[in-house]
Amino acid sequence: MRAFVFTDKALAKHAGQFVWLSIDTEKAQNAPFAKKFPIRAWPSFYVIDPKKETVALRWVGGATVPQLRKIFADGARAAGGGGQAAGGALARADALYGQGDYTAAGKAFREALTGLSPKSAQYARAVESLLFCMQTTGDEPECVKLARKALRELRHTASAANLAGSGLDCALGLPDGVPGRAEAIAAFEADVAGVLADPSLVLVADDRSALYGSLVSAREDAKDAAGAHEIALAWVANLDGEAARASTPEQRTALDPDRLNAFLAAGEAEKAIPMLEASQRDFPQDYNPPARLAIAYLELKRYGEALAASDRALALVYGPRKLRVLAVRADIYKGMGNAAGARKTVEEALAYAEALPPGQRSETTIASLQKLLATP
Amino acid sequence: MRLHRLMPLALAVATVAGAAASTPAEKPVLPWIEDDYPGALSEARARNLPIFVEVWAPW
Repeated sequence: MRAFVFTDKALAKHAGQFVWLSIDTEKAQNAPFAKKFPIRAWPSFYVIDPKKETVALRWVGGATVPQLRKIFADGARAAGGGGQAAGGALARADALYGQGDYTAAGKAFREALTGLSPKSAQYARAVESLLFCMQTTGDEPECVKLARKALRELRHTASAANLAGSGLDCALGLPDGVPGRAEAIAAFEADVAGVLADPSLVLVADDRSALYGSLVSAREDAKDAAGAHEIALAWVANLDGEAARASTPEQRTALDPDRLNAFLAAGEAEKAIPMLEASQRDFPQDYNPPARLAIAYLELKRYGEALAASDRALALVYGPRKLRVLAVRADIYKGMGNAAGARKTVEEALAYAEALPPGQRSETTIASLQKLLATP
Repeated sequence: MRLHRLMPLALAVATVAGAAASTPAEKPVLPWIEDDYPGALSEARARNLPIFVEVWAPW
């Protein structure tokens, strides 16, 4: 978003519409914000009413410029007090969604949707928010049903990618043996492939990338290694094309995590090395290139180079992300057969996790680290 | 947004490369206030405007 969308000059005319705040959740100074406004996905966008300090609207995930404009319009309207009946129900749903109460928000979004036409400006946003609530609460069956219904209504819109991808993810999340699971997966795979092949749909690069990732998961679920590999190669080719079109080092580097995932899925981890070395040269203070190099070298079992990259990442990393860097480091030690090094790294991670401030501290993470240490 | 792209923090999972990446843009088109919620809140109250917040992480 920062490298591709927020650099679009078409957004300049909205400058006077809001006070614009950027929050890096890895920074300790932003922990109070994260505690006040629960965050489950990155990026996320919030419109906040400054008088009451309540969320008027929340959007989870990336957005194109046209989608952002809708969000601005909806957000300004919601912060102004709601409006008509459906708008009032939607405002309630948005507020609950902003508080992170996904069960209550889901119920409120359902109510709001009964008063919204599929052609209305808010319908797609309400559907996508409800899908996120369902995914967060683990309601895959309802997620599958809603994605299927909404796809019929919004097939050729910017929402189609999210609906098809979420539907496929939810179908894959259904327990094995559930009647209709295989059919649902097959139908959503076709939908996702259709979205990827539709030249009229403008997608954010990482949303397109996530669709390829879901298709790979579907083929893996079907134990179709050849099919998964074929899609992974198409994924790599797509992202290589995106990288070739990048007009700045920021844009090129922003594709690195998706490209690394694609290279790993295709069994081509070695191709990530020159890409990440270039990013490391362009952004020497960014911990991400060496952190990703550690992952690529680990995959290639080049443990010495993996550890050296991990050292460089650890010297730069801050915030909760350090836990991810330590996780990879523990795996590097395991790969080297150094159980003591792996254990010491997990102990360091636990101490770090416990010292994080509220808003960054995760009890789930702490519990998983404790469990890991308790395992012989 | 797709939930599978959320980043779990558990150490047991170490092979995922990351979620949506973000690196600082060269020339911001919008007048962002960086990492200062209290400051943005004061300004929004003074100008009687809502706050638009971009929540991101540098990975």
